[in-house]
Amino acid sequence: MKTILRRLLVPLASLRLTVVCLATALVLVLAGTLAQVNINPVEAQQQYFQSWFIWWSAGGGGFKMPVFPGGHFVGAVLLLNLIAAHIQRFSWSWSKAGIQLTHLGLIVMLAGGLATDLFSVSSHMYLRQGETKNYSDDDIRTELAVTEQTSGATNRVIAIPGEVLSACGSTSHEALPFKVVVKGFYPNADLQMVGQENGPSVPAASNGAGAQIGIKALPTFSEMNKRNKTSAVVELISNKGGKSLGTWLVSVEIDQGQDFEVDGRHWSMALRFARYYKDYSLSLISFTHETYPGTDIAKGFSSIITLADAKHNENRQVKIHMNHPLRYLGDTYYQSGYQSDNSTILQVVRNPSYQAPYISCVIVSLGLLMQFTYHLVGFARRANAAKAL
Amino acid sequence: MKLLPLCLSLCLVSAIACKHKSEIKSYDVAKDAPAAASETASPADPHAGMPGMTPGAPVGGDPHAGLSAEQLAAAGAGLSATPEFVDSAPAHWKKQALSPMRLASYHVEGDGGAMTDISFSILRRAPGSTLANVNRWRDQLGQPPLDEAALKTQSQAIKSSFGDAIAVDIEGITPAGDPLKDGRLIGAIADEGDNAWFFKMRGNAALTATEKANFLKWIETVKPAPPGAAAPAAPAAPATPATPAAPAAPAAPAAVAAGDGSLTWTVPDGWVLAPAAAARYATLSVAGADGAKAELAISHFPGDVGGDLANVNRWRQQIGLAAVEAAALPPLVTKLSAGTVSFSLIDATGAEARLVAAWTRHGADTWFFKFSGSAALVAAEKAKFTAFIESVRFTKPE
Repeated sequence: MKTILRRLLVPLASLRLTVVCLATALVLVLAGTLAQVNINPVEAQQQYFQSWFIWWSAGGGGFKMPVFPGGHFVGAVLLLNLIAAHIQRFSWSWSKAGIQLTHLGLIVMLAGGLATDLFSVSSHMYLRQGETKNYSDDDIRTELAVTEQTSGATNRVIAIPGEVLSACGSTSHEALPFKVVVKGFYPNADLQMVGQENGPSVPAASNGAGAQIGIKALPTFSEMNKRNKTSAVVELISNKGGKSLGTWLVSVEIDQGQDFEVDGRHWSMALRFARYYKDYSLSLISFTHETYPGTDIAKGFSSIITLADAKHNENRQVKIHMNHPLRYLGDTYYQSGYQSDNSTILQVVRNPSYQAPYISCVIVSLGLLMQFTYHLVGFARRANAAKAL
Repeated sequence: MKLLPLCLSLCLVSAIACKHKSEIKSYDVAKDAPAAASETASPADPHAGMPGMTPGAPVGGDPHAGLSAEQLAAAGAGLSATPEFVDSAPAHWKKQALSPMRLASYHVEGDGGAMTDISFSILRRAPGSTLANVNRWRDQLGQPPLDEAALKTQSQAIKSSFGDAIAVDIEGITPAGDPLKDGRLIGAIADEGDNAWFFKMRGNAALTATEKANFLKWIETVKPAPPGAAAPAAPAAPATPATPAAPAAPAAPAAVAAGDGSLTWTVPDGWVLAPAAAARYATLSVAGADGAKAELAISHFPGDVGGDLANVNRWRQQIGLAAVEAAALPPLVTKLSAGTVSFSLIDATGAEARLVAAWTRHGADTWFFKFSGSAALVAAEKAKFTAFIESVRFTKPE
């Protein structure tokens, strides 16, 4: 058994494999960077770095084949390579302790990078002066929010992710008295009034706003300063008897809810940028934008906010400014920007492994220090011994 | 020690296995003040309370661009209920059918088939939407986009009931555009909370330019309906006639027809229709903060009623001023246009009272609009009087 394991470990722990992985990573970074000429950085990141393989499709058709390892693949192999080398060559001795510790630090760094890639979430919170919010908005991902309007103090929201809609299938949920069947999903689309000059002649849907709006698919934007107008046409099918309730056009351009009634219950439906709710709220007290005298060049932005969290008995004022984020319950709020009406834009990052690089650096530093010290002490001893001779 | 890396990798694999998929979330949200969402996910879920949380993508950028708010408004059948509003539109603006999102809608017809369309609508505010919406408007008229700096120089700050707004005036037309119905767009955007409020006038370039002042004044009149107000949006020109004989009632800003329907006008904010009085077509009154009062008396008589000099001197005497000679009259009289009608206007201030009067000939009659009362109050309300005169329209031909 040990022999089999060792046979597996030997090629996996090979230094050649390390070199090949690093070279592949270099090519990948170059290709991913150049790809941003034609596609937006988010797509490039997803296609080249947050994937197991880079896929090529013939003529944009359905057939796809992997042509190069993606970031996850290279990272995973490198991680395995490092772990295998660690296992194969590990033997406890003071002379190798520093090297072992350095390798451990690298493993933590790679694992942390992968965890960040997989689990970190970035969103934005837009706050006007005096406004209070307990959620942030994703800038890319969308969701179909189906809300039941109740007579109580709360409304029930069923949020169907855009990824589910994009599969163009049928979706149901125990809280919904109907199925949502996606008749068409448009990552980017142009909406125009039916009958408008040069506009569409056929409405996109039978109910709601879509009864007067036509839809035309557009290629997604590659520019970061443009936002795709994600839209979908959905049909609602009653759970009672499978009767169609009609079709609706939903779009981030129509993020105000479209009302409808099913079995005497009142609902509203809107496609919006995905919301991340918090257990606490932030209120913007004031936003300050300083410029260098006589210029429009930004000197600094700062937001004074009130953090309120009844659950943790928190109610305090916090100043968020450049390089001074607010960290609270796993969320980090960075001063990201502002709008002309003195509303602030906070980038909200939730990264469970944000401490991994710091821990890794400490471990690697300790390892190098130990190794260096060990050799220095040995060198000094040998030198002293030589003097004594 | 050898097992440590293995344990780390196992932890990572476990974490990957537990990674959130794109799954449907169900949660409750407070209707009013923000409250923590009560996620139905397990409390052990690291993302509990953050519905729909999955690894996100890096930040995108800025603007929504797309279907105009006005178009959405027009298409908005079935959209969620929106607040109710009142406005005070010029009498010659023709009210159009509303939709749940198009909260006020008018069009104005000019000569030769020229027309311009006016609307007020609301949309949820999108990040960076002001510049994007202005650029979308510019694009509709074939104009290149602006950046933030250019927008500042090419826009005008105005007041609205929904906070500070910026107004833009865009000229241009696309090759496919109809010059009778397109060529200029005057729009204003105000932000309030999560909402953006859009005021837009687009149509024939000359007609839109003519209506610009009316449009900007109208924006100031659009406001949420007071509690108990019934009208979902502005009553407009062909509204139910209000007779001068009707008892005084607090008048919502509105374009109304009065008397026998010979005139329509827009009642200024804060002014009320007073009970009928002998020899008067209608009376409006306004009260000041310190109990001061001013009154607008509207009357009409056949002929010129003795001529301009006699009338002006009679009014001057009423406020304690000496009569003027015929030669001194012309410099005292200014002209004011209300649509196609030209009014003569005089402003005279006595020791305590002040009088601003406008008159015009229409058919066989001379119509008089005499606004008089406490000097301070008349001075404060003069702009509204001027706006009132500008809103006056004769509904019957001469």
